Order: sequence, then structure tokens, then C-alpha cells
Amino acid sequence: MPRLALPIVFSLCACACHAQTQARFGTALDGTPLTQLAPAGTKAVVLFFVATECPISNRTFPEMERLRETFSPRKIRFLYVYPNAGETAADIRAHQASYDPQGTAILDPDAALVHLTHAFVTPEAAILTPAPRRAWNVAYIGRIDDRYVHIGLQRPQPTQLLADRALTQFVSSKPIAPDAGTPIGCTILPAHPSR
Amino acid sequence: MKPLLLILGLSCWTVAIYAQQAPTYRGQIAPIFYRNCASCHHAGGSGPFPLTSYAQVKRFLSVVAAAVSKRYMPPWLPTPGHGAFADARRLPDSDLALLRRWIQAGAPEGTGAVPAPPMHDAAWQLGPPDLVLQMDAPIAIPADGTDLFTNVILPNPLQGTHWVRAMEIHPGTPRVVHHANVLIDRTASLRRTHRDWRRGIPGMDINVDSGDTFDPDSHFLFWKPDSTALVEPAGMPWRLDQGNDLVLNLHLKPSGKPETARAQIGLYFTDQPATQHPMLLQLENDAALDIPAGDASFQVEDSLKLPIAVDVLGVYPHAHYLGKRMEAWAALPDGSREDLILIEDWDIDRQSVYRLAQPLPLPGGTVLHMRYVYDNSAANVRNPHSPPIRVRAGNRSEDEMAHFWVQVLPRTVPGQTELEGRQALQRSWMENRLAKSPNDTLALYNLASLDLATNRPARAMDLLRQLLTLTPSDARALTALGTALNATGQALEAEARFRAALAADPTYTDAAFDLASLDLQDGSLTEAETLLKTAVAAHPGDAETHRLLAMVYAGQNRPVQTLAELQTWQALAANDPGPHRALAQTYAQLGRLADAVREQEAVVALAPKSASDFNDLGAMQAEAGNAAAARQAFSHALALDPSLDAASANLKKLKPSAP
Repeated sequence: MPRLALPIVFSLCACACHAQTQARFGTALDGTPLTQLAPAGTKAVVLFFVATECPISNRTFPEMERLRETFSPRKIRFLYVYPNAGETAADIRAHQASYDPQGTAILDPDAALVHLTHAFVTPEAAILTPAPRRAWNVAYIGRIDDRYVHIGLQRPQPTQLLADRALTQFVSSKPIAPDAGTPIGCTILPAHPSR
Repeated sequence: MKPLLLILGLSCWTVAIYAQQAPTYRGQIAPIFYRNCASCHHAGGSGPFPLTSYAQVKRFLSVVAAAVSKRYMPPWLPTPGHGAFADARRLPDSDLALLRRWIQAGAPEGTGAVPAPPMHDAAWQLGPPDLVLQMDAPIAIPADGTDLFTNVILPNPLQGTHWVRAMEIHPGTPRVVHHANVLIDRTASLRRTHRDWRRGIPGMDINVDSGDTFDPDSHFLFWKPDSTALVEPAGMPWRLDQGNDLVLNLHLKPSGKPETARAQIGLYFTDQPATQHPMLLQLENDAALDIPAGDASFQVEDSLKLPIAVDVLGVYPHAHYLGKRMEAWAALPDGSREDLILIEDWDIDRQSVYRLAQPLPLPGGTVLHMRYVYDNSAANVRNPHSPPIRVRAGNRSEDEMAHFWVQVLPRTVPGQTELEGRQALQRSWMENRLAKSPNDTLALYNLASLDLATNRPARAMDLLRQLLTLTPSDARALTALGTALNATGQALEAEARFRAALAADPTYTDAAFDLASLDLQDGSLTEAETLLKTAVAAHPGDAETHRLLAMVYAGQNRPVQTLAELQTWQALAANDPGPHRALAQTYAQLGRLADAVREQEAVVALAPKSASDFNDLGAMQAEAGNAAAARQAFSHALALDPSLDAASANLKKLKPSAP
């Protein structure tokens, strides 16, 4: 009996997890659940994890905007993900209008994208590529640049544009080098931190 | 009973430990945030997020914990034990320990009432200022790029002299204005040298021309986001003259989105002029700043011997991005040492003026020292060059500086005036500069000026001739040399220098003024009038020029013009008896005796101990037929100076008073 019980339980869990991953990639600002991150044919999706009140995230917006403008024509979709509990659609719209009006912002109320990418601070970039057996493969997760060394210590300007390098490698069909450093920023505090 | 006692005892012990190990936000933690963070971190404040509620603190706890544990926040660079400063921002060790325990315990909110957070609003802290100077137009700060350093000129619109007891800066957009220095441009020099000054003048540091008179800077007018209104000590307001410009030296930080900032300076006046005159001294060694690429420990030093005793009131260490370690101290004649400051991890973003908690008395003969260490290696994260390059001194942020400013209050000895004490300090400072850099044009000129002011024209001439070998077309140096020559009786040589100065710079009105003075002496009134009219057009608020022009008109026997210029002089120099005296004499010559008496009464009101002025008043009153008043004035003159023969004679001339 115990042998029989165990596979059943496992199977239920696997089904539940699978169903949830397939169904939701956060929500649009109007609350509509997103069932897909990008239309078919998209080569990659870049998620920028950001927050309305995080100064490090805000300071990095110009680079995120530049990446969006540079790589969007290469069939790469860019989304700004606001993962923190307490972020409101109105605040995000106003924030986005100030920092990158052309960018698309989404919420991550169930932390689905946080769990998918393992992002833990804002700002952080994830490059997702289509995967045959899963919805998306996380090809890169980490810093956008190396301006911040730790809280309280920053360079006058970045010396490495890490997300740019990863995207350049991706569009050149080269292996994407992982980020060897630690992202610096404001800890993500989702409404549902564990699933 | 024993087991029961044991349990109760254990329970109390547990509670005690729990209370010690788990502080709560509502209990011990909120007041720490209110005291140390809320002045910037409140809604609308300069901090990037508010920290005045539990939810806000919890939201940014990871950032706060990192910033506080590394002592990045609150911003405070001096190492404890090396100088005692007012308004120290360093988080007490006990508060830091409490915060750490709270975070380790999961940052509990606790129960009970939440302590009321401090109130912050955008109003002026000291009430409506007497004068608000606002930038003409906002400065645009781009979303990205390196920090922006710019200088904005705010002309003083007021007539006359005002004494400023307090200043407050409203940056306009607090989160992008990182710090500001206010400089007083006594001669509007930046406006003269930068035609497009309204657009802002770039530069992390900027030099203003303090003019030809001995008028050294006296106050630190520094602002940073947690600054309160800058209230000067009693007796030490700073002077704001008509025609002065305030220069707002701004450090602006891009925030990630396009921003604008339109700062205001609020000034609070007092009608009590300064009774104590502090002075800023500088140790520096920019000449030694030639830092090789890759050098992680480049050291410069400077020292300055104080010729007189002083009280140190404050210090301002300054370097740019390569500065690493800064220390300054005073070596007293008795061999003891007083530390002025030690900063072990310099960060220009957290720079500040440091006011001493108590004035530090230093005897004459004390030697001030500074020693700065720079890191021009790639390991210095703040290095603006990647890869590092050779760096020298300069005003741009990517250049370097080695400056240590000290605010001192001179202590004069018996027989020495305050001015003489300040001049002695200035001389030591400038001689120190010249010893390091023999071609230091600022030091050469200032030393020559001191020599002229202390009646040593021959030595001034030597210095000025040395200066003119370096800058032969320097109109100011030519003019000063002319002044020195004239002081030694070489009027023709002096005239040639004044004419050379005007040829080099026709707008240099000091040369015009001095040449006009010579013209007045030799009767060349037509040229003098032309020169002075030009000077008046350029500087309508210059009282001395109006005085001289009045003398020219008087020499030309043009009373209407004379009176007009004297009245202008009087309006510009409200507390000076001189213009009233000149007006009284002119009116008397014109037979307008009532006007003459009125002006002379103004003279004695401003100079109540001047026996000769009372005598003149009596003479005018007698001429006007008021013998009783005249008798009183002559008597008063004799009471002030019994040896004043003119008053005795005038008194005798009066008819005896009626019984």
C-alpha cells in the first residue's frame, strides 16, 4: 500500500504544478491573467524585475530602456515585472510613464515569474527562451550592469553591461555567459512568497 | 515549593532574555528610525523612500540592514575619537546593536501604541525668509549618465548691505540634489567671465574673484539633504552687499528618469552687524597631485603655521573620487596634538562641513597639518576612469583636489586689531602657497595686496613685477602696481600702469577709478569725468566712484551735478558720515544754510565723538542765525576736545547770550 500511495501523491502534485505554470505568467495591469508571455515566433522574452520605490531599480531604468529599444526589433519581447506586494496598477502606470513610457508592465501577484526565474531583488533581468518541453527556459538571470557593488557603493558608471552582453550573445547564437556576480537591489517581497 | 519557585524564576529569566533579544518596532526601533533616518526618509524628503512606518521599514529592510550595518547610513564619515563635532550623524553603537537584534528576531512589529513619527513639511524651518532667491529656470537633469556638477548664479537684488543670520536651501527636487555649496561672489566675477551664466556654469569646484579689498571668505555655507537651516553663531552673521552674487554650487545625481530642479535660497537678516569675524583658511597641495595610473596609495601633505592664536570653529575636507583616507591635526607649540578629523573611507557623495561641538582654542605657533591618501587603482570602485589614467588637480569631477578648509576665529593680542590678526593669518596662508608654488599668481597678488594695505609698497612692487612676468596683461596686477608706484611718489609711472591696465581691459573700472584719481590731483578733470562716468555706468552701486565724481563736478564748479552725486553717495553709504559732511559743506557754500545744518546734524549723529564736526555744526548754525544752538555745539565740541582752538575762537565770536 505505501508503494501505491506515493506515486499517486506525486502525480497529483506534478499535475497541479504543471497546470499552474501553464496557466499564469502574472497579470496585466488591468488584472487580466496572462496565459502566455509572448506570441508564437518570439525568440526570447526579457523580464526586468523592478519596483516603483526602489532607487537602484529606478537608476537602472535608462539601461533597461536602451536594451528594450535595441533588441525589440530582434523579435525579443521585453516586460517590466513589478513583483512586490502592495504595488498598485495606478502607481505602476505613473511610474512606467516616468521611466519608460513605451515599456510594457505586468504584475506578478502569485510570484509565478519570481519562482520561474529565481529573481530575488529589483532590478534583475531574466532572459527566457522557448523550450520544447516547458514553456520557457531561463537562459540568463542576474544583473543588468555592475554599477552597484553593494548597498552604499556604486561606480560613477558601469564597467560591464551584463544584460547587454547576454542578449548580444543570444542574438549571435552564442552561449550566454552566466552572471558571476550578485545582484544588488531591493529584496523582492511578493504577496505569496511560497507556493 | 522549590519546583514552583524554580519554574517562576526560569520564566522571569526567559522573559528578560526575550525582552533583551527581541526589540520591537513599536517598542525600541521606531524611535531609532525617527531620530536617525526620518529627516530625509519621509514622504517628499530627499531619501529615496520613506521610513516613517513599520510597513515602510519592513518593505526596505534588506536595504536598510545592509546600509546601516556598513555604516553607509546615516551618512557620517569621521572616525570617532578624532575631533568632536556638533550634529554628529554616526549611529550610536547601542542603536546599531539593537537594530541587529531586531532584524535577527525577524523584525517584529510588537504591540502597543506606535510612537508618533516626527512631522516634516516643505515650509521654511524658520518661517518666511526675509529674502528668497530662486533660480531663473529649472536645471534639467538627464535620466542617465554620471553625476552633474553645475554652478548657478543668483544675483542679490537688494540695495545696501545686509547681515545674514541664517540661510536655508530648498533644493526644489530633493532626491536629485545631493549637496550644495553657496559661494559669495563679491565682484560678480562669474557673471563677467561667463556670458551664458544663466545656463549654469559646469564644474565640481569653481573659483570666484574676491576683488581688490582684503575680504577673505568667512563662513561655510554648505548644504546637504539632512541639513537644517544654517543658523550662524551669535555675533557672526555674514555680510551680503549690494551687487554680490550668491553662487549655488550643485551636485546633482541622475535618478533614472528626466528630472528638473529649481532651487531656492532663503535668507534671514539681522540688523546687528557682525561683532566677530571668522575666517576660512585653507591647507592644500594641489600642486603635488600627479597621481600615476594604478597607484593605490598616493599621499600628499600640507602644513600651515598659525601666526596668532585662533579658535577653530569648523573644518571641511575635500577631495574628489580618488580620495581614500584623510586626516588633519594641529601640532601645538607644547608638543601636544589635537586631531581635527580622520576619515578612513572618503566618499564624496557623503561629504560635509563639520562644525566643532566646541570651539577649539589653538595658540599662536600651532602648525596645522593635513595628510590625504588617494587610490587611483582599478580596485577603487569610485574611480571615474576605467582603466585608470594619470590624474592631476583640477575643478572637474574627474580631476582631483587636496583641500582642507578650516574656519577660525582670530584671537588678537593687546595692541593688535582684529584686522591685523586676520591679515597675519592671510599672509601665512599665502606665503605657504607661494612656498609650494613660486608662480602661484593668487598668492603673489594677495601678498602684494597685503603689503599695500600694510603700507609696504616697495615689497608689493616686487611681488607685482614678479606676477606681471607671468601674466603681463593682467589689468588688476597692472593697476595694483600703479597704486604701489603712486604710494611711493612715482605718479607718472603709476599713470602709465593705469593706462596699460585700461588698454589690456577697457572694462576694468578699478584702473579707470585710479587714473581718474590721478587726473583729479593734476587737474585733468575732463578725462576724470569721462573715466568716472564709465565706471558709474558699470557699477552704479559703487559709493566711492560717486564720491570721486562729485569731487570732479565740484572742481568744475557744477553744483547741481555735485549735489546729485553726493546724494547718491549718501544713499549708498547710509552709515557713513562722509557724504553728509560733504553735502553740508556744499550746501553751506551755496548759501543753503538750513540744508547745511540738517546734513551736519546727520554727521554728528553718526560721529558723536567728533569735536571738529560739532564745531562745523556750530559754525553753520551761527551762520544761519541760531546762536543758541551754535553755542551749544561749540561747547559740546570743547567738551569732547578741550584743545580744539577753532571751537574756542568760535565761541568767543558769538555775542554773549541774553541774561
